[in-house]
Amino acid sequence: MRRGDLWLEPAAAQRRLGIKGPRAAELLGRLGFRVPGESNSWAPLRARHGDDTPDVIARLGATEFFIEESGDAQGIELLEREVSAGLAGVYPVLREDVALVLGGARASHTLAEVCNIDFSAPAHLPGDARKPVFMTLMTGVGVLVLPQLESRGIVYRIWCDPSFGPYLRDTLADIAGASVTRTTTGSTQ
Amino acid sequence: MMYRLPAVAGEWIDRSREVAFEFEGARFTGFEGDTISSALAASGVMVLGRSFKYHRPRGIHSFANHDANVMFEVDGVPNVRGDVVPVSPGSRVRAVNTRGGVAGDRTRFIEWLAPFLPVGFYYKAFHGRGFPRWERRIRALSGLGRVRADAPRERTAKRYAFCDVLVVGGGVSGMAAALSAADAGARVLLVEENARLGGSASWDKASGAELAMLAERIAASASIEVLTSTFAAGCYADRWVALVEPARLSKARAGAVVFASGACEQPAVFRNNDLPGVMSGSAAQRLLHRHALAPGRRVAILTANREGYELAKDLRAHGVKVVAVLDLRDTSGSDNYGIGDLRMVVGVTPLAARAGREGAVSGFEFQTGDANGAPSREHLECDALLVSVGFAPASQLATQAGVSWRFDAPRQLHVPDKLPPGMFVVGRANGVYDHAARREEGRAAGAEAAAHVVGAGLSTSRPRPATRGGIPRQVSHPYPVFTHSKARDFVDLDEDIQVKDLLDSVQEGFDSTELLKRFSTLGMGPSQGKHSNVQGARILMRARGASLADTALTTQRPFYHPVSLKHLAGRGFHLHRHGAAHVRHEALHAKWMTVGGWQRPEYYVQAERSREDCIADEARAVRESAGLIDVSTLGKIEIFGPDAGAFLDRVYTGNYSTLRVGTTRYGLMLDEGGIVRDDGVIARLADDHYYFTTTTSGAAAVYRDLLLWNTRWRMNCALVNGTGHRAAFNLAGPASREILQPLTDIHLAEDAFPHLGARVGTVAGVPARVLRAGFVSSLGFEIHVPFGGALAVWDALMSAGSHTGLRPFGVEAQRLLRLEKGHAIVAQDTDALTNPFEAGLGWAVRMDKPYFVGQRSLRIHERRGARQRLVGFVLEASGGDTPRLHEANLFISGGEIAGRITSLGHSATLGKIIGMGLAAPHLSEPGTALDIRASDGRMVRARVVKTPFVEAA
Repeated sequence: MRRGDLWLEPAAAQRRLGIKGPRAAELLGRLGFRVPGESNSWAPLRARHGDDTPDVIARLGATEFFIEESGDAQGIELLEREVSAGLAGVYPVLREDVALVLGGARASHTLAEVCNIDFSAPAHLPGDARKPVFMTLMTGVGVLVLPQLESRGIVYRIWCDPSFGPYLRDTLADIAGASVTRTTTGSTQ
Repeated sequence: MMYRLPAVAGEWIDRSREVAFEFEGARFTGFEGDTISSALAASGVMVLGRSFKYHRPRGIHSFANHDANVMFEVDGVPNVRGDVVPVSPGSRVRAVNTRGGVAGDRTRFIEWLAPFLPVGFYYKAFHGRGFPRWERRIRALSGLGRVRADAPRERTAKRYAFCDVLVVGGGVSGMAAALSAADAGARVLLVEENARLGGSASWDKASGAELAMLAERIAASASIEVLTSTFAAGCYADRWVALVEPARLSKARAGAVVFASGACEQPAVFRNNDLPGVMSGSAAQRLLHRHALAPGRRVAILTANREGYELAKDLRAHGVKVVAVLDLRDTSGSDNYGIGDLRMVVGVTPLAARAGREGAVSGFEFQTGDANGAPSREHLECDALLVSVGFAPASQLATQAGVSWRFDAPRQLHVPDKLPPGMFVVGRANGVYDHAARREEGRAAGAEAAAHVVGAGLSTSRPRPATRGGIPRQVSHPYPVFTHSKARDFVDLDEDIQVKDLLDSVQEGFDSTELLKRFSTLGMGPSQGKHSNVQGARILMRARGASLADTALTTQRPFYHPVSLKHLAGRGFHLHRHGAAHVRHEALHAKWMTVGGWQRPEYYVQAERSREDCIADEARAVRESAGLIDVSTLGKIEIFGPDAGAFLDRVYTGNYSTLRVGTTRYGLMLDEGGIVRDDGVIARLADDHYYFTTTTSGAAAVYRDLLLWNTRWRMNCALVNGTGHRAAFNLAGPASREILQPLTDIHLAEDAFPHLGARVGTVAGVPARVLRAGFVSSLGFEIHVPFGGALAVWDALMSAGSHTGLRPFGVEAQRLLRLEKGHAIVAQDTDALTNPFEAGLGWAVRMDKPYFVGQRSLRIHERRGARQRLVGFVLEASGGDTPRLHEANLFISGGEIAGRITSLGHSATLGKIIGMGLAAPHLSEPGTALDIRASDGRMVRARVVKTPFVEAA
């Protein structure tokens, strides 16, 4: 859906994985991933990635991480192998999320109608030193939101439980004032 | 009669744009920028509405968004406020609460029944059976417009709004506060209920060009968002404020709030003080400066403060004839505030306003004392009587925010006493009436509010002195109430409450502000007491021989101003979830039902087959061949870690630390009271890894509690909720193994994969966890796969089973099949009082464990004995004349209720109606006769039987 200064689109096909456990950060570091230092923050997945990369790692809590990777997703494959080997203190989290990207000048207005996070607050805007992620409710659905600064401005990458995907997408599109073509329910993997 | 003046500097109307509309069937015109009331007033229409109770003619009174007697039905929308809502081209406007129109209202005869309608009339007269009939009649004769049941739903937007500093009120103090807060780096939201900023400063000469300068700076500031035509309707904890815009409701969260909400001018109480043409002084100034309207051709001013004299000068400066300024005070020796040669009369006692032929004011009678103290009466011809005798702060919102108030006797005003941190009250709301002082106070409060948010020091909110130096001047008369023997001296125009009504209430013992309000309905109309609470309290306290300082005003709850239902209903979010195979179910003509927020197939519709037949066909397929049901809605949780088994031992009633890898066990969860809460199947996939299911509706709450317990117990394990991320299908029936085996790398032979086994492998190439389940049939496989692979698995199974007669089956067939198996469904066959012993689940409880949630309570239940038992039963007869039973029909024993049906269905396998129910213990033995009362009252005989009903299904 694209409507002038607002657009909502499914995220490009990417792979994603969650891991949690007391040794999760240690494993990520050993495999060469960047590990966000603080909970509720994100980082480009690897040092070579810029801030506008689609490959991201988010720290959801002290011992919980979410990773999304594009292309051949070698990093996630490597991680899956390590985790499935039964490494103590590291546990896999299946992530079959529906992923959406909301952007445009009016994006924050749309978000204000569906979520009680102040995405326009200076502390919540993405920048060199600030890379916040939010676990919150949006239209009543638990979501993970990652604001990211791209060449086209701030975009909001949104992930949710795939069973809520059609509802969330249609509701956002409705509030944004445009209709979207129904697509098959499910993840974008 | 009002009339339009030549252009007034700063007027809000655009004289180049005429707006035509219809009022009561006649055509009128106004200008763009006019409100409905101002457009009608400019056309000389004085009677705009009828009063609520007596249907007296009413006109503009406050012109401040509180004219409860001037509400209109506009194009079918009732209760539109004429004093603030702009007139729109082509609109059809009617007065509410009339029969036959506002001019010839046939129900005006009610006024002559006033002696028979004393205060508390409803309470006294309509006790008993007759009340509903009388209520309907009263409702037909009074009220505030009609609600159209067929009105289209407006999905009014709602949003969250955020700011550092919220400023309520766009007068000079509010504007100054907004600017200084923004200058200090704060994000500011400035809310003004009128169409433009300015407030009372709009007509205050002292403001001059400054007002325009402030407005320009605000417009240029990127840090200030301005919402005009918006009112703050309620203030809640944590500085949440409800903002009502014309087409949106904003839930604003502020770091600090500055209340610059101004003051409401209060009426004087005298006979006929409600006539059209009698209005507050500030109403006249709003009409003059916004809409270039003169209040009349011969204007009298009744006053008791300096504002009345300023009003006189203002009107005269615009060419309006002021016939006299009548001062309630005996001000001999003081100056006349510069009104020059205008006639001034002091020591005035109002007697009555007189109405002309059209119902509007035509004269005013008053009394004065001469030099010898002898009274003299005078009748003054006038077509407008402007009243400026006092103010009350618009304190409602600030009060809701936790501000307390005290009565300041020298000023005869309530002023802030204590303010919570982050709350500021400025301007007239704070008792400050001088223009420069208001601006300075707003500026200081804005800076302090910003500092409060950023934590830069000044965080104390404190009441400010009314003036900076000098003695605060009195703006309110201490008792502007002049009772008349013939009454019609109105205290509350919303509810037509007169002085005698209040005095009678006090006589009857309703002698506190709260009791008086409820008995007399004072302040309970649409303006919520903004013009009546203070004067009512004065009358009450004088009747009690006390002063206003001795009482608190009534509680002022949100909403302080009426909010339309379209704002409250607005856009709602109705969550629903779709499983991965939703599109396949849709293609198979699923009849949908909602379970725990999920859309689930109740059954699959077949052409020319009844619902019952469709369900029976699906159940038959499971018994004779195989069926496939989508059970993705089950909660699906994993637990990892060395303490995973021990954790489950504490959560569930069984033992799981001893469970062998590759096996499953039933899991029963209780609440702290020992009551059945949830159940599922727990599979051990590795030494430190378990995978388990919960009920559909219980999944979220169970997971939340598991997290809580894990946090409390600090065990070495981690929980993962995969409910939405995995799909699950139950392939059930004698042919299920044959269908599944070609699709999986898991060996399904009975000895390799026995009942209650759990295996990990692939199905149709998709990673899968497969559990041997027996919920609906003896042979069945519950296949759990990632959401993204679910469609492939569903398709592969349906294809592989096509030659066996495999059918998809829905929730209703599942309920029937599990009933035949005698399996209870938690929350259907149990309730909020059912413990596991009563539900026949004692076998799943290991009381010898050291601990599990609910164990302690369960010991008490065990000692006390069962109060009910879940039993299976078979109807002795069905069909023919036998009444049809339903779930929740009652068991009757000895004339008393002895239980109820929890599950019921027709078993095609048995050819009987079977069911389960919670029954009194003495009815639980197999063979016992159960008498069940059908919905039509007839009795049906059933017999208690052992379960399962079907052994080898």
